[in-house]
Amino acid sequence: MAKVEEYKMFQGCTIGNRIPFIEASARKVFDTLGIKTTDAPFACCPDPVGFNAVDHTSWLAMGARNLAIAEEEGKNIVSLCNGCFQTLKAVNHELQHDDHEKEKIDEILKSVKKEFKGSINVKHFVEVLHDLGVEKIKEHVKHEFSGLKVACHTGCHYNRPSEIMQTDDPMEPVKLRELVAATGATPVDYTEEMLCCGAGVGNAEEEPSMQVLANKFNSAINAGAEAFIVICPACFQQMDTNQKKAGTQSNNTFDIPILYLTELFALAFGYPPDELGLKFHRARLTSFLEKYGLK
Amino acid sequence: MSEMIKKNANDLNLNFRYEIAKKVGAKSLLKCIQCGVCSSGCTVTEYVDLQPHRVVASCLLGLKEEVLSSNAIWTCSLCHRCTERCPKNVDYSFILALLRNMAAKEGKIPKEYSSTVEVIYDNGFVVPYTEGMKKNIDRRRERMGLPEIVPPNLDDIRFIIDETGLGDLIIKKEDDK
Repeated sequence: MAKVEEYKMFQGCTIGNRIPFIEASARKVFDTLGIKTTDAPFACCPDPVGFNAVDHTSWLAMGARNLAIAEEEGKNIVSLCNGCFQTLKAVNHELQHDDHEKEKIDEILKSVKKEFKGSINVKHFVEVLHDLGVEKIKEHVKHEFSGLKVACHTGCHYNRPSEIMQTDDPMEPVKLRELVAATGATPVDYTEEMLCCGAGVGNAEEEPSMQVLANKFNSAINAGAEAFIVICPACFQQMDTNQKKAGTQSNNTFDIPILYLTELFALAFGYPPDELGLKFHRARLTSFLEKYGLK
Repeated sequence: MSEMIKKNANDLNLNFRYEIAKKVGAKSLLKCIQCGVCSSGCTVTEYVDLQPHRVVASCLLGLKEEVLSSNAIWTCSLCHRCTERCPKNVDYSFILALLRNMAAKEGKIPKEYSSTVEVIYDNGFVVPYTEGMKKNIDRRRERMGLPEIVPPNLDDIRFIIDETGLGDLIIKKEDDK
């Protein structure tokens, strides 16, 4: 595939409307690495946990409409969010493999003057970065994070169900670890690396959601992690905003920085913290930035 | 943990398993061998009244009412570990989403879920970009040097939601029409 491929950017509404500083870091990183994107009038993906729970057909139709918009331009989609990624990829897969569903969706889309052909791919930004190559990324690293120990957390919808997602190993993903290592940081091994962050269950019940999160935090901190690196806005929000709640429930005090992979990259590429909106993080980054000479 | 369910054979909905399995993605339900691997790796296994393998067993037994009113179908993070680990390739997470759809049709749906449909109907996004919030979001994006949000065609979105029968979940506002 040509290296100058242009993607349709699917930042998703959590990142775009609620935590746009993550989008800012992603766009800066893409710029530096020469990854080209353009925008499109995409609607909500819609999310694979909530909307799909209400009605599968409606979820398929809404997802297919977004795919059709990218298909009109013949461009693949790059997603900044695990949820959008899973929805778009799973809808694409299901409509390519289930004629019965496709017939229904075709009928609905015809009325809104859209057509789903199944002609494009959907990629997670971690795949796009990894395809570009760890070595190429290293060339742009101006600020090395030597000595920094991090806990990598891919989140569930990045690599599972693997039959559909086909991004990485479903239980021992490596791409995020390799990318993180490109900045000089060291990913630690921790027992609960593949544990869900608990965000998905929080809609229904808070207690399990906070307990799962506390288990995750404890496991990583015990393994020596100084920060989490995440690649999903739902995980980011769960981990960044709920440290106090998870602590109260489990008799702990958590104070651990949560960084999006693109934020770690942007810092490593030399963008000043001020330009990245790091002050909008709930879990404070001040001492982390100071320790690594990024004041 | 759940109590023992006592039921007469005549009261079992033996068609329930086929109601589920007629969906291509959920056909795998019929292959379950009750090994319990799904439940042993489940993120929320200690918080549910019916563990995943027992939900499947209940579906196969025709305990429709019990399944659709259990907390197990909503207390799930859809992490897909069950689907990933199943030695018989039973796609439990797909089946679970379908069970949620069935419960929703009967009106047994937490409002946190039904309200997302309302929000999307209103403005096309689940994290709202409504008139009231637009200014704030636009300003924050501008400050970060980000391009403006390209809003989706709301007529399309509303048509899809109405056409797929989700309109009933929404209290439509008069001025939307």
